[in-house]
Amino acid sequence: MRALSMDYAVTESDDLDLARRHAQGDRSAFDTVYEEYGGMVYGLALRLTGDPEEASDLHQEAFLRIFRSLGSFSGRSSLKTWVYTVTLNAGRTKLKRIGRRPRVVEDDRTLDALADLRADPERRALGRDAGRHLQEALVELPAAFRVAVVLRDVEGLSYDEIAQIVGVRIGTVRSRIARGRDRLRARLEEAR
Amino acid sequence: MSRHATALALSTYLDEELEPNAAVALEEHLEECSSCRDRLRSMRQVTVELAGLAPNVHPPLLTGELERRLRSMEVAEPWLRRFERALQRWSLQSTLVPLFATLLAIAVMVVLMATGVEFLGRSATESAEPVAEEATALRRVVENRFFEQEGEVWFEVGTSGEPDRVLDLRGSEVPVEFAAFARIGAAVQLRVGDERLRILYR
Repeated sequence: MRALSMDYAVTESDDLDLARRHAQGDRSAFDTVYEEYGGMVYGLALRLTGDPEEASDLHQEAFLRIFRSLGSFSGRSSLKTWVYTVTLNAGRTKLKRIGRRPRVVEDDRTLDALADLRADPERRALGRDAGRHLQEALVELPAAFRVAVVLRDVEGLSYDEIAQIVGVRIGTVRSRIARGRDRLRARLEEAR
Repeated sequence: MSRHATALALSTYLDEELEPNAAVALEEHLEECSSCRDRLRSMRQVTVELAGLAPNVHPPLLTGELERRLRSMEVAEPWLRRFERALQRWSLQSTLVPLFATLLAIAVMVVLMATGVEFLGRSATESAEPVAEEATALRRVVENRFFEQEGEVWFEVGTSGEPDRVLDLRGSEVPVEFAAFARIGAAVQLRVGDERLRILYR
């Protein structure tokens, strides 16, 4: 437990150090943040939008905001949580818009991105098929449910972390996850 | 538990977040109710499929459009932002804040007295107008968003991502509950005490 606390303290201090260096104009601080969280932000954007172009736009907008605001990161949350929050704020309008128009995921690039690229060809084909249905169902969810489900089931965050990122109470998080999962379940059962 | 289990109960149970007594009651119900068992099974299947969704996604390389825009932000960074960054660095050292505030207050007083500007006795009509802030109030955090001053107008420039429990006013934090917001057309008016501030979105 002691080691864990020390690890956390080190991480927190590293996060603040990055912010301080960025505020002082040290470009390598931002590059470190990009290296650490670039994949996470793009992955999140891809799962939430279901479209590589939309995901690229959101990824870009998120990192422009991170660049502008990193210097004032105060360490009240972890940097990772802060990056999630900035990304979701950057995509707030886009995600609502996407939720209102049902879309069909068809192009190979999207399907490859959504399936597990490390899998063998057979599993990958199955993954692509499952990924297609799941992603279609996911983007049809209302944005609030989609965000909660993706943060919990894809990103593996705790209820506490999601509540902090989204800025709502834990009870609301619990309810959004449940409703989102139930809608996905019903939608996928229809498709089978 | 005689009725069917709710989605909330099943989902919370899957996450092992259901209270022990409720979990026992749900398990007893699941033994008797095949419909709820099926629902739980397919909900679990959804979570398993979601967890396997693209675990390894590579981000776009930091080149091209994003890099170009970042560079243009660096090059075009105005002196105001540099000054603001300097203020931020100073404000990190809390012991310097009172000293800085005192020196600034003395400097403002000296300038006002020297130029003979009467700053007391401002009329009620004037105070109802948007008030230009002091040079130190270059950035505010309002509802998770950053606003910067250009002349007398404040523009949104980014998102802090921080919880919006406090406002940052001249380096001191003011709880949000002491501030009032009013949306007027495309603008938002912020009031803290007697101060009024007009915020435009661009």
